[in-house]
Amino acid sequence: MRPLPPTALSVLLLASLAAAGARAERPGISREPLPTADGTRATLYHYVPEPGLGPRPALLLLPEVGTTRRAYDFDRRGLARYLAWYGVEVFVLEYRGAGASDWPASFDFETLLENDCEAAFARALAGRASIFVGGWGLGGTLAGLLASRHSRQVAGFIGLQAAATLDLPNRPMAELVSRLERLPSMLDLRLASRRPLFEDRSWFEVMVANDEGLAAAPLRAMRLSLLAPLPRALIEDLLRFAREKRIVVGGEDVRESIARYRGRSLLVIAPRDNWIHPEFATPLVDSLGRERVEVLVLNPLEGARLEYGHLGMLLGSEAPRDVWAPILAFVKERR
Amino acid sequence: MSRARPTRRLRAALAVLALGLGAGCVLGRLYREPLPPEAELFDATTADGWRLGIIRYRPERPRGLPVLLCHGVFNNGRILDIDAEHSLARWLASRGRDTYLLNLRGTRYSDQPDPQAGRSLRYSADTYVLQDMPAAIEAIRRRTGAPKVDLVGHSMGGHLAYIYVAERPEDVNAVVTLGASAHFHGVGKIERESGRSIARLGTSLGPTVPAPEIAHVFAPLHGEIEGPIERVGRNAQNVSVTTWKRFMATGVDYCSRDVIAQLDLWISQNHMSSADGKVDYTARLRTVRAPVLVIAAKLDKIAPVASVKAGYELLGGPKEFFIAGEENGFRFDYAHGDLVMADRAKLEVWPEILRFFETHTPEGLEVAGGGQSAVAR
Repeated sequence: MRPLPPTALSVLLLASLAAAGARAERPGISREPLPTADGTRATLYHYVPEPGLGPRPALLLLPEVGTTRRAYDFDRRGLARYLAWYGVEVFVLEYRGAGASDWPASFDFETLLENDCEAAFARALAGRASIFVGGWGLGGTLAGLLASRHSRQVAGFIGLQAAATLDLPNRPMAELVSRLERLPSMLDLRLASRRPLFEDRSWFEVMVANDEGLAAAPLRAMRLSLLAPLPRALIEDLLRFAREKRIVVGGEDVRESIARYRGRSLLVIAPRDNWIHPEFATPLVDSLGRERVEVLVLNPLEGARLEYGHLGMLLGSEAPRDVWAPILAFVKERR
Repeated sequence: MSRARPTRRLRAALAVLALGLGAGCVLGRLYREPLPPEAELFDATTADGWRLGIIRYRPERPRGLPVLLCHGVFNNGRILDIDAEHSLARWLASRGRDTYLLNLRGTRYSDQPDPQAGRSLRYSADTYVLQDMPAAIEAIRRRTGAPKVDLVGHSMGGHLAYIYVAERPEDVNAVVTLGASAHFHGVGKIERESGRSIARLGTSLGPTVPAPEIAHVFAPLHGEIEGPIERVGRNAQNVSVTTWKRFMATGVDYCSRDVIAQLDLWISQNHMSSADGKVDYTARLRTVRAPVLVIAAKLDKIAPVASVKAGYELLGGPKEFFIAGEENGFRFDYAHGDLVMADRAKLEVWPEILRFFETHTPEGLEVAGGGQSAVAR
């Protein structure tokens, strides 16, 4: 057998590299403007898996309030890409005031639900009998509310430290709140959270990016691409929730609203979370029914590799095994 | 031949256990910390005739009310007084507080059960509250003349403090609980099941759970590997291997099966109650009017923050809640044992206790800690 000439070898090598590159590009990602009921445009990112991977469940992911979609897709790595890679069609909402969405001067928590989330749900559901909904932090709260409103079209609810209540959990937060009379009309979390809090550690590092899984992460780049400005009206909502120790939307406590959802649920609890504390998230276990809900507690005693915090549960080094894989199993499980 | 193998294996296993126990007893003694010369050990006698060992640390310049420290299950008072650097008791005394460590019945410095001498094997957490704590407080009163004490409880000691202050508020000025939950339903699979499994195992070992012997068998390994006990009990960033070994050798102690059974009942019904289940102690927290500082440890897996905070929410008087963790400026997040044995506890946690007591000491109640000398035993 004659050996291949060097040119042919080079061509083959280039072709295989190109193929590998193309593989790394999968899944297909598209961005589309999302008109909402009040005329403001949010943005919906669509992660489309390769064809031919069997039935494709769809999942709508809602970010934490005050963040962009980057918690689900940072530096070409994240839950959205992972799920799409394994055959899940993923939609990620970018709220108004973040990324490529419109930046209105003011909006509140209920506006996000009634406009951005409802529009995203309708778009993701189009042509399907049902979809999964999931969210991170207060985005998980919004996802739970969507699930309770549209329970017949929701195949399952995934709450990633989804808040059922709020409080002022520590001294820095309590002090901050006491100074909020001087709050500007728009607070840019990217800048505010870089301020030193304790010694050389910033607010972002202590409250959001505090777990071991992010020890080697590019925290500055994460902060800049992940966080978004928050309008005063939304912050005042959050403070009211914290003072009253309950999240009230549409005149009803969200624990009661979400309790009406009777479908499948997966609640992911991060015990080391300094932003949405575990005690704010765990009441949903009882709201949804302790016997019916699947709970994943992210500490080593429960089988996780690390103690997880708020951001680490999505972008930490061990998140693919400890968090993403169980979410995939939940979405793929046939009932 | 097939019968001989299991016998041989059993013998080998027993030999290994015996060797481990022997080696552990020797090694354990190496790490066991004696009481320092300044510690005074005296007896308090309960109404039902048990002698309880109380360890006192007397301050040079006393101020404020006496402080009574109460330990948790499978421990004795020395968990709050491991060595000079890891002793809440000595630290409080160095800040002027006349400090007393209670050793509950059946533990190292107190009487052991002896049915022939009238000391039953059957005692529960109710017994601690109805017999041991009043005896200790009365003994402190006699020594100091103080009308009330400030009370600190770690783990189950915090439960006892909650129950006691609800039952006998006239004895207590202010309370600090460290890692004490009022609700017991964890949400994780292991959290849900492990407490009851351990309780069932404990109650199957006989009328008294031989925790020190169990600790001795594993003495060479304590802290060297991150086993389940280490994961539950400490954050290695806060508690050194040496401190952990000293704790295992000094602060681990016996516990009655009935105490474990009562904790099992609490876990199963999700609230504190009397051993017969008739009195709901958790509900009584609403009647507490004494000031209470509730300290939770961020990484606590025995008393998770959510469960600890549930108790705080119920309290009816002045109260504060505080999480020992990075979010409040601590260098590292705390676990259950860290609250009393972390290297930095004296910088990060204990000043909160002192501040709280000082804030809530009414004028005219301060009593200098003089009184009679303790009798060394």
